Amino acid sequence: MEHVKKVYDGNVKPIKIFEDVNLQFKKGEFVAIIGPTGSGKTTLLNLIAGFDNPQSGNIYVDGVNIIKLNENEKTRFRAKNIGVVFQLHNLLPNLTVYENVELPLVLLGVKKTEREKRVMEILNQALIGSYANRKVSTLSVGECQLVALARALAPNPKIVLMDEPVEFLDSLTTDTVLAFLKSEMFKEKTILLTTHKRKVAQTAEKVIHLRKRIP
Amino acid sequence: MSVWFAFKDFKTKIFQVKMVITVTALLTANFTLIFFMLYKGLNNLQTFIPLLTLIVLALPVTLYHLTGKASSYIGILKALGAKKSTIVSVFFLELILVGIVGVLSGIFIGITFSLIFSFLINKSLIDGLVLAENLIVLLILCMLGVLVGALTGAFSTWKKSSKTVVESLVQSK
Repeated sequence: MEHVKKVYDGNVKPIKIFEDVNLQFKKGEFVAIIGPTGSGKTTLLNLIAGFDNPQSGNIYVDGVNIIKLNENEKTRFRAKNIGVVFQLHNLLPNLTVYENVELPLVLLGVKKTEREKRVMEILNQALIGSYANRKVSTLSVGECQLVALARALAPNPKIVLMDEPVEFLDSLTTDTVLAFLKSEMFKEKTILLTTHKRKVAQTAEKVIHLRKRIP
Repeated sequence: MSVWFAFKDFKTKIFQVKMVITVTALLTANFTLIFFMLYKGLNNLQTFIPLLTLIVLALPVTLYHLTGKASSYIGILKALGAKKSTIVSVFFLELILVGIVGVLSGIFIGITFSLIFSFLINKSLIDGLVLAENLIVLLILCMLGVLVGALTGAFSTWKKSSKTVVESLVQSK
């Protein structure tokens, strides 16, 4: 990220989130981003994923300046290179676990046989292979988060962005998710994870602290 | 991909609820139309035109509002890498499917209730023959309504999918 500025329209006056932010993440790095609510953790991930646009600055992902891409190009780039796990998982409730994980591969036009192999490989690695045919609406929050992780991994992205993935999970499920993050499936992937939990941040190789701006 | 997703989505509870709303709207329109057909036939143009307007307008307006809650779906699909054209075609196909089921159910229920109603007020059931003559016209009109509805919904989806993922997801909350 180079000289990134992000301002939101506030009700009374604009809310400045980032001013001249410069950040660099190495390939294969596991980085935890911590900070209080409103410090811009989610905004940072949204900007890297191309979900939102900064007022100024450049954001390079794997050498590509995503700010210069139009919406369709950005979508296409994201489909191949960036996996995203939302805080509230954002799974599609009408689809089964298998179909949710399969969806990014369908969007990429991957053949059915390859899709089957890839989806089952990830689900088994995440220890939810037996849930493949269950609707996500029947799963617990922790199980949904594992499905969301599996979905993010499906297209084999170079970068995985996770917005407070264990925020609503108990300690046992948090450990399951963290164990999955340390598995072979995440090897050589750049992982950016936001969290409030110190225990989660400690598992990362690098920690970035964001401070809340004083208005 | 569009067909894959549209069919899967069509099976859901969300769309079952949407379908009930659509069927109710169509039922009202069809019942009115069929009832008038039984009594006046479709030769009376003055009766025909307002009813045609009702059919063609009721469905798109209903469907347009049904897609109002689609923002979060659009946001998620975009986040996962769905192009604008893919998202629009998913919603277009879904609206066509919902519309066809709604139209057929509406006509069936409309005919049944109209016949029962006409029997109750001592109108001869033979008048149902008038209905049979005009059934094709009625079907064509309804399908036109479905198409207009789906196009309206697709236009709404196209506009919504022009927004960023963040805007789509925030709007759905």
